[in-house]
Amino acid sequence: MKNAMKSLCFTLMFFTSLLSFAQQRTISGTIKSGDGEPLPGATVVVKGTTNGTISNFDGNYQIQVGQGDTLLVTFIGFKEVSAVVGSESIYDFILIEDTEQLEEVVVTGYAVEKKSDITGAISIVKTEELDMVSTPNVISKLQGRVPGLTLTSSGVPGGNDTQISIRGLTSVFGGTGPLWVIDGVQTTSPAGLNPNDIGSIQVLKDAASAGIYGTEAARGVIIVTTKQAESGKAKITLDSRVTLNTVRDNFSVLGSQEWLDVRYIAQGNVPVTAGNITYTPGTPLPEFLDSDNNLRVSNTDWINVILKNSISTTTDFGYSNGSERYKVFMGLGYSKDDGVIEHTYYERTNFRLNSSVNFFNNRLTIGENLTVSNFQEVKGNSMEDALLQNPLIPVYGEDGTWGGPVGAGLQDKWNPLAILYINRNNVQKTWRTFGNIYADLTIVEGLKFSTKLNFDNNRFRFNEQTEAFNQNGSILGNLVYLSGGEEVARYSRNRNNMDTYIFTNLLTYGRELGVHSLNAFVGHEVYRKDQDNSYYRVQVPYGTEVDFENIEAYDILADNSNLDAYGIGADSRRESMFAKASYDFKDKYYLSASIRRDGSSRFGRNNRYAIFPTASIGWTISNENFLLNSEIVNNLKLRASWGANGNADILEYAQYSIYQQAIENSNYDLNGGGSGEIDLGVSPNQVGNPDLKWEQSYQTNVGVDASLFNNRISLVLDLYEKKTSDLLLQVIQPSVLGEAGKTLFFNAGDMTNKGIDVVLGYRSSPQKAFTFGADLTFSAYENEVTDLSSSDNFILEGVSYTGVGHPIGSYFGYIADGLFRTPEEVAVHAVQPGKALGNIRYRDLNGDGVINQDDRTIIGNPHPDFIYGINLYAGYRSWEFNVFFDGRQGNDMYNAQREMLDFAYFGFNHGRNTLDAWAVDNANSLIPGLSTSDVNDQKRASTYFVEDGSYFRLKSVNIGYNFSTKTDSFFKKLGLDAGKFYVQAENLMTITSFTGFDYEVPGLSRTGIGIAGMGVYPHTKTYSFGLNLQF
Amino acid sequence: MCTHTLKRIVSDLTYNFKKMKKLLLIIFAALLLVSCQEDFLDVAPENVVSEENLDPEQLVVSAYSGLDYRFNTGEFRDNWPFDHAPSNWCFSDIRSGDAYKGGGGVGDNPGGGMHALEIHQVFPSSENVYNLWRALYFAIFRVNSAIVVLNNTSDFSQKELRIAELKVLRAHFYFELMKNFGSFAYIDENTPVEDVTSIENSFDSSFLWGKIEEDLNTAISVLPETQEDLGRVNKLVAYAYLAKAKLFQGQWSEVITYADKVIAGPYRLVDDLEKLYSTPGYGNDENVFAIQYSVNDGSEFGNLNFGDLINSPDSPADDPNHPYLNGDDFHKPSQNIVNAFKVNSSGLPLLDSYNNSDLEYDDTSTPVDPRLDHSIGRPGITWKHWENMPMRVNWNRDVPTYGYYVVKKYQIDPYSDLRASGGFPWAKGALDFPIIKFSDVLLWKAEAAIELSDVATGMSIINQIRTRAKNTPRVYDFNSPSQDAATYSIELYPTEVTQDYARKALRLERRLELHNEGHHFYDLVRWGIAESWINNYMFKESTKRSYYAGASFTSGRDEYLPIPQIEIDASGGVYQQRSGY
Repeated sequence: MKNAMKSLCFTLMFFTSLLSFAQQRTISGTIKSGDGEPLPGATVVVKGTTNGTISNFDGNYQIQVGQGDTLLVTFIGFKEVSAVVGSESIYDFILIEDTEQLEEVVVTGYAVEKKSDITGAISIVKTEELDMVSTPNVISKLQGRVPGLTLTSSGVPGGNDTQISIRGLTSVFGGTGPLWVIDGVQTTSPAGLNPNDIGSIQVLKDAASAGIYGTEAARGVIIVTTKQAESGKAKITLDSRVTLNTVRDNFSVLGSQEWLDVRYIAQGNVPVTAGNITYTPGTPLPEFLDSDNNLRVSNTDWINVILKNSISTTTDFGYSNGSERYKVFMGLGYSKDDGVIEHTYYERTNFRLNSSVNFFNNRLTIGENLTVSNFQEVKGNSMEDALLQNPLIPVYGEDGTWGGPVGAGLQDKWNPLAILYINRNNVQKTWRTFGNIYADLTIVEGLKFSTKLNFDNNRFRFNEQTEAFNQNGSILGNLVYLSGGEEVARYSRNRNNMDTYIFTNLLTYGRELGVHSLNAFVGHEVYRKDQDNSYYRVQVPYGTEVDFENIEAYDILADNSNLDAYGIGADSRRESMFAKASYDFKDKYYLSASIRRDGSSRFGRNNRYAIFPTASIGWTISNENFLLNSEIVNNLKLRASWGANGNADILEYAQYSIYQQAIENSNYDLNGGGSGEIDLGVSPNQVGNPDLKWEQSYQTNVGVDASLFNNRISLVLDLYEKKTSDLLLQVIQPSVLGEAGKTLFFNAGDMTNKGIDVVLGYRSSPQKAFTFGADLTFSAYENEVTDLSSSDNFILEGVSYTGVGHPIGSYFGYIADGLFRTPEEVAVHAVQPGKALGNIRYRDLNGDGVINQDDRTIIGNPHPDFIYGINLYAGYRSWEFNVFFDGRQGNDMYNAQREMLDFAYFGFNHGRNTLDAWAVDNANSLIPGLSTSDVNDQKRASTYFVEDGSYFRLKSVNIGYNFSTKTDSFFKKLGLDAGKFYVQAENLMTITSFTGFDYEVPGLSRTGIGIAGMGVYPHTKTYSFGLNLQF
Repeated sequence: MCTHTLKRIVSDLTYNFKKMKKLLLIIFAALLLVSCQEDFLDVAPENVVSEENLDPEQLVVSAYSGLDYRFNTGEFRDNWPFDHAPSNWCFSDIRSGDAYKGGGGVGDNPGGGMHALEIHQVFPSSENVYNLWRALYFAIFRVNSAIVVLNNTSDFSQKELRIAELKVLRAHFYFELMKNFGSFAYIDENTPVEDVTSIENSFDSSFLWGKIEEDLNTAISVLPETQEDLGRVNKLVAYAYLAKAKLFQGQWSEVITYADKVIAGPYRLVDDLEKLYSTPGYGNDENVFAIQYSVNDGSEFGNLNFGDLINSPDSPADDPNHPYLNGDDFHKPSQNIVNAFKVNSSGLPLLDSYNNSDLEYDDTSTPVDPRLDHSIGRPGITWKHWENMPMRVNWNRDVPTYGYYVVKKYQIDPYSDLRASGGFPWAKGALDFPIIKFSDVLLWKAEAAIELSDVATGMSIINQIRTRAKNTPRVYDFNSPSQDAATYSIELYPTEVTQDYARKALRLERRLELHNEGHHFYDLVRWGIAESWINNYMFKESTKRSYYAGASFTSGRDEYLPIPQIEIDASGGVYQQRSGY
């Protein structure tokens, strides 16, 4: 080892001496920025040699040079400056800020690259963009910022149900989420990550960039690098924000009187029974709903009852310190997001410690990144119950217990607020600890060995202890029983432990030799995930305070610890080898290629390994002589890439057939005794496919980066075509394949996404007091299923259709041609059971005179024509302003809410559309006539429910004031260096023609895109106040 | 220039590699160490049963378990089959005039399509219909898998016996498809796996009946007359099913041949109907083939009749905290079936005129067949010896829509120690549900005899049934237990009557004895009178139940359920829809 070191030093000296042949003398100078501040840490090198130095704290430097040498001064964020050494001994430099920051480094797969060297399609999200949105969830913060990124979510606190896809759906199976790489930890979920700890986010969109992640890359890769300390002074930061959340959308259904009137008409003018009431129009309502005079006849707005305004807070404390030798960053964060639905919340506490130490003159770096996160959630959503609960029922009875339906006509929904209340202690707790320890060793100049052990430990704890509750004097809740004459309650305990280890070893080589630059690495990686799941249900005497940690001490009803199959407690392994090389010549011509071989335990032995190659090229035209000093074209680069990616996002054990002993579903009392021991059976749980293999996607990307007119205008434009083949598919199967038939995975079919991603920016001159700028992100894609090699010609799940020649998740059904308005129209129409005045007329597409299954067709495309974001910002002295709009254009949505709310078929509450239902005296209505039975099958999938889902909205408004203590001595006395106050509002205004409650609905898979149901957690309109302080 | 530099880089690297050999060796050794474990990527599922460690007997049990239509697919409807119960209450009883749908109003529609079934406006999109089809094929899949595994097992002593049992089960499931859909895709253990999804549904009833009979005949040659396990099928079950298959095909003399095999066996009519309808185990002598339910068997609620769970009456006030009954009050006896129990002064049914006037719900003076108050709950009448209260009007959820009657059959005795835990699941327990009862078999024989003009034999069998009803202990008055709860009268028919009279008597007797047990609709269809009978019924009922107004039964379509649209779509067009849908 010692010998090796010696020889290394010798080699270095040898090269240095070889290259410095001329007469040497010492020159010096000062390096300053454009505004006259000295720049410490700038690099001064003699061009073409390794002879260089770094400017000191006052911006001064000294260096040995020879006559005629060229001095090159570089500093990150500034434009490179050079000078030929003449006879003077002092050379001062003024560095001009490089507004495009082309030298910005970007973390790509397993490597760090200069942004200017990148040949793929990588979007960089700036951390200040993340601050513009108040949610504690990092995914939600990306909305509208990255072209090609599609997000769907509900408004659930913490935003943990947000779904994301990059460049369209690439897989027909449900899994669409990208791979997250957080400081090297590969995971499918960023849950628990504190957005305030994030240093930078890179989204790898093209195959060549993502391909180094092989089997996991087809859905795109999001790389998150957390904050690291910088060398220099210790810094303490404090960020705090408080947010008022209000419900964004209007959820309105019928009031009591309206409901009674609608019901009366729907029943064909038969008096309405509701509890003790028998209603005919004109008769006054009695005081009470029930014979016990407990439930006062009310006009309850149940939505209003379960929704509220709420407050969220976020506080983060950061400490960083560093020297040449070590770096420490520590963060402590707390965030609480109270839901707008009563008794729901999300709460997170984070601790982060990133540190590193250098040894042997920076030849060895040892460090770690660590996140410890605890998040707790009470999930609850009785939106659907609240929309459907009868408004006649009061929230509370006269006796103080919960009000609920009683007697006839009021249905049997429990009090929606009571459901939330009894759930309030069902906290789902997760401890997540993830990060890595690493060592980087420079073996010789340019050759580096890195070893990194990533870990991700997830501990999920859920003690379900739903209470019983008293509604109208009856104790309800599934959890009170009488067993052997004793009152008992039933609780359950759910535990899931997941440990992931990723051991990565990398050998990298990077060398700049004159005009040549070569970077390469080879690596090996082992991935191992182990999971344990345990589930107990116990029965205890009512009122017992259960110690869930010692659950075995109680009367155990169900112990599903053994049900580790079916993806719940699944283990998984992967082994990978990969290599990448990139070369550039004169910073003009770029060439890059990578290859990865993955083996995964998820696939059968025959198809276990796969190889994923990629290649890319780039040409920086602006570095050619004819453009070198152009005032108009500051940067112009053409990029092209191609690559193969994989998708293995299926259940861990999909290759195996599994049977299950399900005590309620496979056992049978064969001896007929009726009690006690029962014969045990097994039922098929999963049908395995040992021939299963990867889903592969091949993507070609062509892009251009440009900065024009003194960097005022910037443009990043990418065109891509992404072809996925061997689609992993799991579909509704004919029942002849048995109860586990739908679990069968197979490779069937191909799909293509073609699209364009654009970011266009303008910014004013940064020198002025008033600065302003605008960024437009725009993306569009077209999806088409090009082949389905299964025996089926299409796959239908509900209304969602997957078939050749159509976009995935298209809507499929009948064409609703308005209503029948005259008896003649009814008479001449095709055979349609249930056709009648005021009912929906379905189109006889094939003209055979009968409305049946053959008259169905594609009735909607849930994919937008394009999505966009418009970011406008301005600054005046210490003030900054930011307005962000985003939108989506040309997508269809399926308003499934109307299946329940437009018709009076069900006895629940109805939507406001029923007030405008067709009737003889309302002949022009678009809403079918009222009826209690659906003799026309009007809930069938049809264009009646398809609506335009386009929207344009003011996503956020932000006003901030920055102050620094140079101008304010009062704060300086407090030890404050700098700070910022801001106010911010989100979702202030939306323009949409969609008539459902909410134009944003979860769902980003083949089985349902843009389908608006009723149980969605409402989105919020928020107002925040925040401050950042630096000490 | 370029190549020169590259050469230098390469030589530079090689030079350093040589120097660093030792270190690199260590690194690569470490890499190989982690990568060289051959079976690193073999991760077998833990703690589960796979094809390697499968006990064939467990597959047989699971095939039997399919009888209750509960399947663990992770979907609500498959674990809680109350919208497509194996008792067929939503496919027979509410479609045939025995019952109204019930529940909380016309719009209360588990599965989304119960009301459509009731008014004969069923669409191929019906969830209820889809769920039924699913359940039957899931069960058939279990049967076929078990036979395949048994066929491949050499060291299993019960092999032939178990295969024979499985074939009877398969006949049962296909029989259910036949009754309900009149069409099915026939798949058995010999169907190659790759062909399973490409087999069309057949509408050729002689082919389909042939397949059902083939299984039964094969099983008969192997099965013993009795089995130690009461829940297992035996030779007599197979004979009974064969008789039933012949009955559905109108092959009367075969009906008698096979029914006689069953009648010669140990089954008998039990002497107390109240116990038959309430007490687990009591029916073992009368149930030729029943779905076995159980409690305290390690499962959360018990393996119960969840298909009929929502059919328990709603009784909010009986015991608010731990209700014995707190159901959803579905499956409500119709006024028509209640009227059918009226008797004339000779204690005989009013064969042609029973529905001309209604028996009021609180009328205890008009003479009625005593079976009425055993099988149908009427307000004011004692409920299964329950001491808390007689049935009350408020046990009905929606009187204006569905009237005053509740199903009393197959609600467990409140004092039974085989009752499920208090509260949910309401009034359920280890009470088995009969698929074939001895009384049913007797009536098949009676029907066959009458159709073969042997009226005397037919009438004497009917009288055998009536004799049991006559001798069974009467429902007593709640306040004066020494007295009857209502005016009961039942006598025997004369045996010398016309064939036409005998046929009417037989058909009504089937209802009086077997109403709301999932038979009447299929009877109407095989008798060829479904259209006229049901249309008359709905026309008459529409004066009492307004939702029947305008409803009609379409001949040639509504005799059978549509093939579920989801299945047709999932089959890629292999399945054909029935005409008319």
